[in-house]
Amino acid sequence: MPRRALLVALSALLLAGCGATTTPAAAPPPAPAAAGLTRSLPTALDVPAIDAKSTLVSLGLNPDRTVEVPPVDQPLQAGWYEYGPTPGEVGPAVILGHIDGDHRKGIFWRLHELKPGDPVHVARADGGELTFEVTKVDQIAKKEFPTEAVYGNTSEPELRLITCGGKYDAANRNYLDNVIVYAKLKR
Amino acid sequence: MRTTLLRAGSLAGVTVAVLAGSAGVATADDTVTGSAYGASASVSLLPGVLTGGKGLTVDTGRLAESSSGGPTEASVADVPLEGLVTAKAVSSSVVGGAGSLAAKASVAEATLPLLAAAAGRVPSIRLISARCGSADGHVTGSSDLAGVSLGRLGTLPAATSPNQKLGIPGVAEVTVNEQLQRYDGALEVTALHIKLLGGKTAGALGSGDVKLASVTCGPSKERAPEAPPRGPAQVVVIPAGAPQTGDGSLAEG
Repeated sequence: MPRRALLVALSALLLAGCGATTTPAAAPPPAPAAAGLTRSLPTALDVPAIDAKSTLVSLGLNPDRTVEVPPVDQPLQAGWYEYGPTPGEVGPAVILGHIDGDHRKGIFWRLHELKPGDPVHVARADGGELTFEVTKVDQIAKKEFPTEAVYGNTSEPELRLITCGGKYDAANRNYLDNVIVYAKLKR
Repeated sequence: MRTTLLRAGSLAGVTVAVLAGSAGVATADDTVTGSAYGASASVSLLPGVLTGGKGLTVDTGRLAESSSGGPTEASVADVPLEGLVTAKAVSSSVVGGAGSLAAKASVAEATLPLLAAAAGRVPSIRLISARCGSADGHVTGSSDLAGVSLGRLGTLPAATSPNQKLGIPGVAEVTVNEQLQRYDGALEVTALHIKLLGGKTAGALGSGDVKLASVTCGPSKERAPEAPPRGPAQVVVIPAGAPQTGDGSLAEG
């Protein structure tokens, strides 16, 4: 650290030169910004509290720009939205899974049961095993989908787990709500 | 493994829009264009590079090519790029339109017989992918390689920053996560670019280029000029609507 020492000394000199006599030599350096990990594709998800375990596939966009979801005839498959950060990078990494499909319970059938503090484990291609901690569980009407809260920038590595919920509108073949779990990387 | 390019002149654009009181409503002018392809090879190989091979000149064109002008998806299975490269599947897709664009290309289960002599074995890569997104005046791109075995060519760090090169001096240059910004603001991302350098040195392979998983995203306009300029979105392209995750087969009543 000789260079830093030199900088501190220089700062002190400059301050002294400006007439400051008793000011401490230099303010401590600002805390580093919440650093995230580098990019690495997520490979698996494990949410022990709801017994949800799956490998992760990459999900892009459908031609109508809605988000792709795993094949509904594989309701136990979860996926990661690939035009966003990977889990562990700063930002909201988004993981999607079905509530049901093909007359079977989906990977996120019990997503609504999660509680703040519950752990969510994500494995990455670089060998990383990350643990996120649930901070919030929401159920919200799809027509009021909170785009900014889900996809908007965050200052730390975060995770979103999303599925459907609420009443099923058989006429439109659509669940009326989404269940959204927000989680933060545990340090 | 990700870079961000702020579109040149974007700040000036904001100022003008604010002065003009523009509402920033999407118009046809907001169309963002892009393209993607799984693989291409345009090379002249010296005799003997491929096992028992004579010299070879090939130009495969872009395999599994898609673009915002259509087709928006393409895939090819079992791709033997004239024996230079093999792949179980190559595919690409582009989702474009007003305001933003997302493109990806991937190559699954690739082997590179082309570089076998230099690597001491046939290099293999389980999954090669490149993505780019353009929205709100920002263009970003990334590449991901998994299950990489390159023999003597070296190893890749877990996180690959843009334009990382592995080389066989005088013979070939392998660029991983190649990112090129074009003069018009577009970003071209190629997950793996093998450039044969020609020459007559021992071990020379030939000349030309092989590219695996390549995407290009054009520049986009900034939205909401009344908002203060902000950095690039971490989620590059925000999906429309709400996710449809379930078929209701177990829904009550």
